[in-house]
Amino acid sequence: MTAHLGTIAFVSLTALTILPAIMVVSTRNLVHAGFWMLPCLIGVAGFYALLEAHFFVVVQILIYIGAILVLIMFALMLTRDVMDPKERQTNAMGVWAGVICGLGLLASAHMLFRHPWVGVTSHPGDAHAQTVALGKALVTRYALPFEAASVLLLAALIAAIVIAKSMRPPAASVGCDGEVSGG
Amino acid sequence: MHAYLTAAMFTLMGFAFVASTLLLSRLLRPSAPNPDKLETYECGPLPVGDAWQQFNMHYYLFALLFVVFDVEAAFLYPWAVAYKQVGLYAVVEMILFVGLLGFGWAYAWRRKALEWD
Repeated sequence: MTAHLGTIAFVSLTALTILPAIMVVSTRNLVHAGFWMLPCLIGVAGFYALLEAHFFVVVQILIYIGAILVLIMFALMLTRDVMDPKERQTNAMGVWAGVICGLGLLASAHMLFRHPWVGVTSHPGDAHAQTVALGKALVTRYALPFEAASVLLLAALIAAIVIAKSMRPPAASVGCDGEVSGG
Repeated sequence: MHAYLTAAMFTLMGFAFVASTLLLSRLLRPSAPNPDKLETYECGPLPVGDAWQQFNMHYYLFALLFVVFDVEAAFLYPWAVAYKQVGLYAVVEMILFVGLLGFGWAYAWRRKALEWD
């Protein structure tokens, strides 16, 4: 019974992830594409739930849906020409890109079938034990990547400020002559 | 696993409730289509132009600042659960982590990135 339930959950989550993913790349309207990412990312959160990685379910919803999707929507709002639904969505390299992606897909499928899959025998711990283990690993074994993530976030933050501040606003704005440029 | 099953059932029933309510109202209400009903509602006045336009770069900056500190918050959770078992080392590391991002925040403040000009 439980095995069947797991299969049903897996199949529905796969549909929930892949169908919106196809919509993301096929819809004419970029903002709609952004919104289609929402069920797709929820599906991925569902996979984490299925794997009983409780912390990652929350992080997936908090970071990917709550923050990154918002960032993507704002990035779409900054663009002008690509927002036009009448804009062509393919270019001359489309066929070659398709061939290369298809070969990549075949190669990964080949590797996946050749890989000897070992069934997971141990049961994951409860949510608290998992989070404690993750927290410990973050500050001991993976301390350097942990601090590197901080530097990466800092770089993204400063770069965005530098780019945004060196650009003039699109519309003529008044009363910003006190701003010191450069530096 | 059971908790997620409850959440999934709750979600499904939520969707079913909304769908059945809409269906019921469709059966009951009179149908009188009018192009005016499809106008964008802007507090009464007629809308000028459309919403498909370039937005101010500032929105992106705010979203990015939010993402950075959202990620920081996500890192804080497992740290807060585990720091008692690691001790001072973990505290120093988190001070370094938050301090680096605090530097970015101070930079944003200094460059007036948080103000609308």
